Amino acid sequence: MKEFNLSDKELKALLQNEGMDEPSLSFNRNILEQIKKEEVRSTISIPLWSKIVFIILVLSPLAYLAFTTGDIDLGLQQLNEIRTPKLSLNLGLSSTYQYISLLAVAVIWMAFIFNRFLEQQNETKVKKG
Amino acid sequence: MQRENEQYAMELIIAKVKEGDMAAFNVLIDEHKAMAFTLALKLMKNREDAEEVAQDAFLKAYRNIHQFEGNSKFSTWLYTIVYNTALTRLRKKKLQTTDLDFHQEENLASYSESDKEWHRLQKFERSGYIKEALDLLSNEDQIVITLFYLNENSLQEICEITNWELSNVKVRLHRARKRLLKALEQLLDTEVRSLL
Repeated sequence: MKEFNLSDKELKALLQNEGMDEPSLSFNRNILEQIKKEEVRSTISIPLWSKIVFIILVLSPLAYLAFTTGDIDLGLQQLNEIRTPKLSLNLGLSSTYQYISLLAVAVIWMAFIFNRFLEQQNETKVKKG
Repeated sequence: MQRENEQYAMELIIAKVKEGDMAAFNVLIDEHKAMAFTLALKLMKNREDAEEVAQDAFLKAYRNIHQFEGNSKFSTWLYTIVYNTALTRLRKKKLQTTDLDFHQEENLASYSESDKEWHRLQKFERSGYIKEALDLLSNEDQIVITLFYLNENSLQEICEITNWELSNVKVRLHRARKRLLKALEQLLDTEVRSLL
């Protein structure tokens, strides 16, 4: 039985003769447009004052709920009396509105943190070359 | 001499890209898009996905061009990004890839008819068979064959692109070559039998 064979040279010639697959004609344009879009997005700088305002707007309801309406009881006073300290957060939320606003703030922050996490996960690290 | 000139020209282009020259980046895309796309297609098995992967890889290369310090060839660095981007995409899509079970094909009766048929085939017909046979291989086999024979990457460059050990690359290449020939032979054998 004669085994079917091809030399390295023949194989290389055949594969090179077959050539490479070509992407669509809009390939370059799509990449360059994407880069331009990203550059425009990065040039829109958010002023520092608006970032501060945003943080205040997000944090102030939480601060309000924590320090004005309710009492934070971390059980510190009971530490000496009880062997295992009980930690409890009593914000003294008396109305549904307060619960909802606290929940809204928590959801906003969780969404913000989760989005950052997902962005980092999606980005494949590029090694140095 | 020509190779040195090409390398110098490439360095100039990359320097311009680092300065944000889009025209220079367009030249880089033109130079490497076919291989980047071919590589992505070998893994994705779908033109749309392959094009997205290749585009994504070029975007990553542009964003991280400052990371390229010229320690390896630009093409090697770029194909590493293409390969990793495709793998990440594949993992997400959990695509089922087909692989031939070559162990079942060990006991093929005769090779001589295939050999004769091969030599009778015209050049363009041979190319068609090569493509078909290549499509029958696993992703890893296609990648290693494409990089080594089609793009003429060295074993060391294949190691960089795929992150495989050198010994692993050698073994894979050897096995992939054997499987390609076997697949080719099987295709030709079927052709011969259909003619008889």
